[in-house]
Amino acid sequence: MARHGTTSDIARQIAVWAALLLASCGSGDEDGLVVYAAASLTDVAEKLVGGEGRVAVGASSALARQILEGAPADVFVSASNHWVDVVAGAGWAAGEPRVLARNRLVCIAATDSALVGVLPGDLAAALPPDARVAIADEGVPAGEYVRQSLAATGDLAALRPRLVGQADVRGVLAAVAGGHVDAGFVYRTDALASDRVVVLFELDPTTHAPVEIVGLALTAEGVELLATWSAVPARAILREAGFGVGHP
Amino acid sequence: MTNAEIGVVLLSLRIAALVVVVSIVPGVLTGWLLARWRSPLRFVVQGVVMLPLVLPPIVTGYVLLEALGRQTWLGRAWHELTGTHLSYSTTACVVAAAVVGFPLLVESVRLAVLGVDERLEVVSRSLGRGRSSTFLRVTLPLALPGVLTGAVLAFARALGEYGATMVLAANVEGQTRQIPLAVAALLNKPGQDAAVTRLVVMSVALSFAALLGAAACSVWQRRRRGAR
Amino acid sequence: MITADVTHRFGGFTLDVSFESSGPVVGVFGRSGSGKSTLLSAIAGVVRSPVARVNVDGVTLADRPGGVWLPPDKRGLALVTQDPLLFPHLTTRGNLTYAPGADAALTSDRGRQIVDVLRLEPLLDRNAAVLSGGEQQRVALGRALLSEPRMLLLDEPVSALDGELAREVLALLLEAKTTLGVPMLFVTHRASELLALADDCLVLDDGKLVAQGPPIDVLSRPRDVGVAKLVGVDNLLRLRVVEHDERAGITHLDLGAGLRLASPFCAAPVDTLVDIGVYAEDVILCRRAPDATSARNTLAATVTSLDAIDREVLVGLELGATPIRVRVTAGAVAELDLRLGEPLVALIKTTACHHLSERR
Repeated sequence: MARHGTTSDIARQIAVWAALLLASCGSGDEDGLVVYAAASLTDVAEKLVGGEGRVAVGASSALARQILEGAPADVFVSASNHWVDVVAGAGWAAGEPRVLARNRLVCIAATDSALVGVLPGDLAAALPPDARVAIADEGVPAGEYVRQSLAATGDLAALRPRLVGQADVRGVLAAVAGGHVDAGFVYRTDALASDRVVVLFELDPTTHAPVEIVGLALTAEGVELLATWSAVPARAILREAGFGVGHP
Repeated sequence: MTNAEIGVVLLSLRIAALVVVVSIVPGVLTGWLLARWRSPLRFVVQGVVMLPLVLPPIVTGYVLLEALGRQTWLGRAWHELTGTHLSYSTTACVVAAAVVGFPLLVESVRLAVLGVDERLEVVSRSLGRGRSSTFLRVTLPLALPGVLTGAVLAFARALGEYGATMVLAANVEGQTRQIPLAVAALLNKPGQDAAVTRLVVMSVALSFAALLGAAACSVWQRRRRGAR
Repeated sequence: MITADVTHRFGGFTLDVSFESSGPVVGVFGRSGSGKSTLLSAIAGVVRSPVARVNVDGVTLADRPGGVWLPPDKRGLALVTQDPLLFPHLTTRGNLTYAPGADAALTSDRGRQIVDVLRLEPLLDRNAAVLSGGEQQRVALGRALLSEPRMLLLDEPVSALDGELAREVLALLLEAKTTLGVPMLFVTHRASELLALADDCLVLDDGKLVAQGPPIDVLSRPRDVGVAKLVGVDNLLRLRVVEHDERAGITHLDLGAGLRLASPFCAAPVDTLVDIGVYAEDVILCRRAPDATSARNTLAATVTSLDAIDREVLVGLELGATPIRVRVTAGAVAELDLRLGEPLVALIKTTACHHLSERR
């Protein structure tokens, strides 16, 4: 029965292809580690992980939520202690949180901006009437630190109507670099990553909680990987990107 | 619900209503054109109109920002006219949601017009009614249920729009913070589950009501076809 | 009075028709695919033909490529199609008053007359979508008439309807013609409608005008085989000329088996073949040959078939070696006691034998 033979041939082929597809999905999981990194680490996370795993970037808050929902991450690198505490408090930690580096917050503008030279307290007054200032949304660490600082210096009320919320600091950087807003608040490391923006001023680090890049291992493999990031080569990568790296 | 949340819901409804108001006339004309135009060029127009339906909304938002941002001549012309910037404004929300919802409106109108017997239009012309009079007296009334379905779908789509809006309008309290943006922002904050739940329930209820409206319109259309 | 000259191509089909007719009711006759509906569309201005010259009552509606092309709504040629195509979202009144000015027309004397003739009064306030087929066609006709057209264009207004309905609509059209005196141009594929309605008849075949004239002439004296086939002459005979009798005005043709058919005198030489058309209803059947008759042909025949169609019977005969069909009533079949294989006598007037091959 040639007809029957043909049908089963096709069925067998489909089965083989399906098995191959499934196998390729599975092997992806086993290939290496998965690192969830805050958006501010977009450029360095790949270098730190090297060939040992894959990196997913996003707002620390969003990543923390995904981990709480059971996302398969081995290491969580957050831009704030808060979200590390949330994850660890929910019982996902496989080791102690480890401060990997420190960061600073800066106010940036496009390279040709008329705001260059403005003093921290004068920003609101120096902005043109319909100017916009990009900021990471509330809940996102960068957004929280900046609001904390502006509140402490008394500038928040004057700036509030100008603020344009972005999903994460990279969104802020893109809006400033694209000329869509007049200024924006990002990490110093973000400002260094783009040649289309200049730093107007740094936010006084005493006006907000310390910006610490905190790593938290979520699996045993994660613990091993995280340990290597305190070694000299990893510290060099971080320092080169503009992070503050203390002495071990 | 807190006052801030009520404000968010009202803003969402206002933007969705504005989306319908600004897109209904061009949407009906485009849908009619695509249904009745014989030229092969209509496929190009149809492709352009349908594009936002298949593009990732963030890409649509990016394209819009690059086209309407304050650096562009369109953005500058808008500033000349209104004295305000289009990006990151309520208007930007309307534009983003209108563009993303436009294909739904146009496709609905196109299908409704295709369902109108073209011979009725021919008879109308022979009775002395011109092209536009025929459109207003025959085609539009007979396609009306489809037009309303399209309007309701565009309204519902505007209520749920996030991606293109986030890029073109971002999250500005009182101006662009609609339900999806508010929910996204609240998800970033710890301990906001109750607020998230309230907004999500509102969002689901409004969208479901809109879809019920669309379903009612299509029942109306079918009944009308059947009666012919 | 209408003159039209239309050339229109689509696919492999070419419509190329030029005519002039003083109507007032012009029938356009042809099979489906002959181009008659396309001609109507071109006159109405629904299709844009590269060559289209249309003039109705001295008004030029189109002169392409001359540069004149009135859109359909400026031509005053109201369309009525086989589907009534009422606007389903309007009432009967809404349909009747649809055309610009039809509101006033409805209340005028002529409007009253239209409403009377078409018996529209009881329908006025009913929803158009719930009317019966015949009622809808009446409204469609009223709607077209109330637009006060120069001419009514009717595309198979009757042919698609069932028997009873067809008779009703045909009667309405006749009454509209006689009472209201509206010029019409109508398309049909039925000879009976032409005979009933048309003053002038155009026969179209494969996009060409093949005959024009009063319908009785075109139908009963088809000019050639093509037209005869179109208009449905029932017996088309190709026979050999045996001899001429010029004095008596007769040409004798060979039916085979020694029988001859006396046909009107024609100039075809002896021994050549000519085409003859004989209507099935123009043959008289008798049991015995009558004593004296004006019919020149008294021919022995054999019944070969009997087919009942409604209340009529189509009788197949063999005249010599030539088969013909004869249409008689069921009553005649009973009275003559017609049976298969029985001998009969067929009477055919010479003038009922129409020469078709004199194409020249």
